[in-house]
Amino acid sequence: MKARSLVAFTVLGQTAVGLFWAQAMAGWAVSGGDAWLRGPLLLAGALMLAAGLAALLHLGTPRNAWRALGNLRTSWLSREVALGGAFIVGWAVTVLARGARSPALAAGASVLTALAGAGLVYAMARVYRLRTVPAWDTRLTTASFFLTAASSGALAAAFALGSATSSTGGTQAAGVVRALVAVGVVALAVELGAEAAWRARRRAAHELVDAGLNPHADSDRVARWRVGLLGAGLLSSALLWLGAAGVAPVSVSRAGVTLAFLIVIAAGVVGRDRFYANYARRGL
Amino acid sequence: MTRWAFHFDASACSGCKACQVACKDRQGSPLGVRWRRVYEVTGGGWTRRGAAWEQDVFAYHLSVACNHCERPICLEVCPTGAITQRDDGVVLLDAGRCMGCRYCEWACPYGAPQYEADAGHMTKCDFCVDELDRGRPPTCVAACPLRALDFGDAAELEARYGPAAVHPLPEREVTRPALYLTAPRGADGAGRVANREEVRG
Repeated sequence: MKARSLVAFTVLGQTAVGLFWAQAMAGWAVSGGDAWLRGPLLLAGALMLAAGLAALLHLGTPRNAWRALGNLRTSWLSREVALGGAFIVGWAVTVLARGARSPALAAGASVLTALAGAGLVYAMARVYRLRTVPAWDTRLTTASFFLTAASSGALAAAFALGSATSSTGGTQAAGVVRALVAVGVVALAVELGAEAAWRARRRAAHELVDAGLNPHADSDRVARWRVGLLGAGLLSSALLWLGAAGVAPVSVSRAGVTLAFLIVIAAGVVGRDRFYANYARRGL
Repeated sequence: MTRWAFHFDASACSGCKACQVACKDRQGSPLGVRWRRVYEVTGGGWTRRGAAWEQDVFAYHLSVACNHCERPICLEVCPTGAITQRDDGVVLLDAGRCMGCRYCEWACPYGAPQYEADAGHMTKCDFCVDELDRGRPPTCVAACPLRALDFGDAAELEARYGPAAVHPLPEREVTRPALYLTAPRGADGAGRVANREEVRG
């Protein structure tokens, strides 16, 4: 299965949602943070728009994409499109409300957008939980999508805040970056721990499909890359967090956060590419 | 009302692919698009017993198109509503509404929806509804020289043949296909599809 545009869509979309959650929580935790949270907020929208464009590239007839809302009753893909649209609209209202200095409207829009984002990540996972595709039809799919949102979203927010803190030098922002890196560390540790469960699931699923039609696609080399990148992401994030806490002699530099973020995105891309490569359906 | 279904006698099919060719000829479908496909399933082997060899080698064919399921998963997952089902059970695809996401292709356990790359949309077997509406058989059924392929009312076919299982078709409950089978030797799950390159392209 050639799924580069879908890899881009899901990884970028989940990162955008995680980034929005991260900046929203930072905004609620710290008063007066709207100015230095503008960067992460704008980046979240840009990533979601890029995800939408990547999704369009997957279509054979993009001019019919507007019809994708035509089966909300039974199609998770239709619901995914609706929730993606709701996220973008909510994000735009949040940006405009913050620009207009309307905190009540911004807070309301922010809550609704965060909920739409959660719904979007859930719908993204349900799209793949087809009863005819045993390798995908598992709670691990849902968990994996939310973990990608948490890890890459938190580190994307830390990355975007790196630019803001270098200009404002706010200690509040530095504290937020430290908390975001901690979220990334926890999410990456869980992702790494879930790798064994994923491999077991893929092997079990392979027993349920015809071996002639579905040669085994789970490459050991790709699996090693995935684990290696997750491990590197976890290590670099953990060092940053320990440095920020004063335990390790590492400073939370912009370069360090950028490196950790890029490693985590690479781990997400490799993992998602392998996810699509493991597509094998029951029957013919 | 009649609910249309296919019957396929896998013990009688010789794998000549007249059904597949007749379907392609009628539809004028491009290279790689096959609304009906013939799968070759093989299995068994040779076992030494003392000085003698015993073999249980087998092979059979499965001619499969859209099975116009009672629970069509293609219709369930299609985001645009391009796939619909008539009262007589025939599942149709409106290419003008399709956006070419290929989600139905992922989901269908029979590989029925086929992507037409040049046109950018899915296509699928329509049970030759225009022939049915004129009281004539679908083209694939009419073309079968061994009468291994037949069609009729689902209730009658089920009463006559029952819900036989043939590997590697999925359990009937997955989509409740309008397909009834006469099982060949070796249909219990020991075989594997041998012509993947031909049927998956």
